[in-house]
Amino acid sequence: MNRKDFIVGVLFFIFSLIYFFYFIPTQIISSFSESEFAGRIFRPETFPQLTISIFGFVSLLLVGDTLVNRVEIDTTSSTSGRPFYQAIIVFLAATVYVYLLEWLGFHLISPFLLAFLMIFYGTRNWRIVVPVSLLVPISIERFFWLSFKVMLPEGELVSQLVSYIRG
Amino acid sequence: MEQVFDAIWQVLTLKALGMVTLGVFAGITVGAIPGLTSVMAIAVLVPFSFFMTPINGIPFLLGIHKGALFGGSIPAILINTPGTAAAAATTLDGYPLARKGEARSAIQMALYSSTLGDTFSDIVLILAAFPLAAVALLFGPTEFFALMVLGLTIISAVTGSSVLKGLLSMLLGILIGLVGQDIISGSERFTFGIANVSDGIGIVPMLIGLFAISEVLIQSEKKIVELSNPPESSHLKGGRSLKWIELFQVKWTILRSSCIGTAIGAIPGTGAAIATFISYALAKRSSKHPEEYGKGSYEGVAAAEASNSAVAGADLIPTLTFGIPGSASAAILMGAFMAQGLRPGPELFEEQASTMYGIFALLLIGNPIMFLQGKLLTGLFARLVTIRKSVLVPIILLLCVVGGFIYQNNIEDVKLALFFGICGYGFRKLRFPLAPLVIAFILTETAEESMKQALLLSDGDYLVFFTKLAGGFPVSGFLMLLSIFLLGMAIWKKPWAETE
Repeated sequence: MNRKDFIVGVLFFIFSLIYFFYFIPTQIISSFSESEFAGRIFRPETFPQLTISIFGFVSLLLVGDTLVNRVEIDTTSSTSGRPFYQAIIVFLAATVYVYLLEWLGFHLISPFLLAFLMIFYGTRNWRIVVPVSLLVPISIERFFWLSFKVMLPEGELVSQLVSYIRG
Repeated sequence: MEQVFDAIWQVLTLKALGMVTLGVFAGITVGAIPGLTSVMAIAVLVPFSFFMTPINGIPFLLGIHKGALFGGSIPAILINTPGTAAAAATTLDGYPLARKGEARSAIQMALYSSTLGDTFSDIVLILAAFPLAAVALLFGPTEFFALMVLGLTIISAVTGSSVLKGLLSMLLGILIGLVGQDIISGSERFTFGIANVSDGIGIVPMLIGLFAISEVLIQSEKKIVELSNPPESSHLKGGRSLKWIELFQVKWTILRSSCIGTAIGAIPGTGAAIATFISYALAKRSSKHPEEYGKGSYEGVAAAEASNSAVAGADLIPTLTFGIPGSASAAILMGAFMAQGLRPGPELFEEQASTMYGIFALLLIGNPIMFLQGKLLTGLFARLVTIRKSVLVPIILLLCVVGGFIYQNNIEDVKLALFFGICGYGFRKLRFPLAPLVIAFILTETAEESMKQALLLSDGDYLVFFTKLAGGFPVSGFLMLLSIFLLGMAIWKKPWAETE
């Protein structure tokens, strides 16, 4: 049995039940009354119901398939948890960066992200890390401004500070 | 005829030619960097095309698609690492040639074969597109729905190692496509009160997340030594140039491989990797010197490269004529078309014929441009092979964030891209193919609309998809039965090799 596929199949089946019995009744906000729909097929929930029913059925097939084909196959390429943690750290760094972007702006925070990731990936040469971290965000910002007149996020705090200084 | 001249007039602008040149350059650059895919490059660069007119923006993206397929051969030959999955077969003979000190001539063979293969498939695309679009115009909503079911079935069944995973991926794509407003009733669906998704999930953040951010996360898994050290490379210095006689000797191999690449590329979901290995195997079987294959055969390089580049034009055939993308790259290109206000499908050829002629002309012009770049800048592209990923990957992540933001000047789209990034990473780790998800997402609105229109015309009779006659033939019934048959075959036999 392929354990990961089995778990995914079960989770997807549970998701299909939640979707059918909870999301469809609560997350379809219709401005029409039931009687205004000429027939059942035109209701906004028909297509989602049809899709999620097939989804639930195929999830069950996946569960059944893993039970029938009882061959242990590792479905992931990694053999230890370390690579996974490396990817998660990068994702968390990106998430923190995006949330800080709103407050501190592209210019201020991007060099830190680049420097952190380059060091994390093993580049310890400061003659590479410092110029790349500083020049790449500036180049990107200038490129978008000069080419397309697009302003990258300035950051709430920075814009407040600028307006405070300007009086 | 007036439209054709109008299109050529539009094409002959420095800006349009410049955009194709830039696209091809970006494509070869990305292709030359091992592990970075053309799909990822197109996903990251799609937002750039929004600032251009369709006649500039679309060829820019097509140039990337084109260039990346050739670019993938450079690391395949120099360091035995294919830049793209499609270039895997090139390593078999390209790397042995490089070890013999013939890297330059091997790359030149890859360049000539790629250019010829790509040109061949572009010509087939141009010749086939307008007649096919004319046939598609005869289709009603019933036939279109059946055609979409067939397209999605093939893509789900062929892409990836498991048919069930392909189907689940496709159904997830539909579920994501349902978020937003229902086109018939205007009802809000599955928005969970999030204002940013009230009009549906943005295609660009989704593509950037699924293909680019997930790629960054996959790259992050590699060992630090692998990321921070440049790979050992066979250099080009001292290598000889390819002789014309060597190219002439493989002319039939290039032609045969171009035909195979075009034929397979036109089938949704098959992709360049399958076409390449089939062409390679057939070339070896019909070769006068099969014993040289795998030890450094120019014929082997030509077969692999002509075939994989021939897919570039061919996978646009179902995308442009029927509005059904045949691969992840084609799905992203279709998303770019849609973002430009052009919905691929038969109507596009009626309503925007001159734009289409222009795009086709630029597609053809892209081939000599690729040839010239490959010829003149081989040394530069070869150096890219040794670039440190520890520097490159952070820059790509930054470009992903910027790409997500400039889509609508909204930071919420960047958050959405991150969400899809982690989802894409999870799917890839669990070996769920991403192509069916994206293609289904793009087709959901049209599929739902077609289904409801068909049912409206038949008073809610679901059997209409099997019984309706078009021009005296049960076209939709045939397509639906074919879908069921192919799905049954795929589940029963599971013969497909992993293609993603």
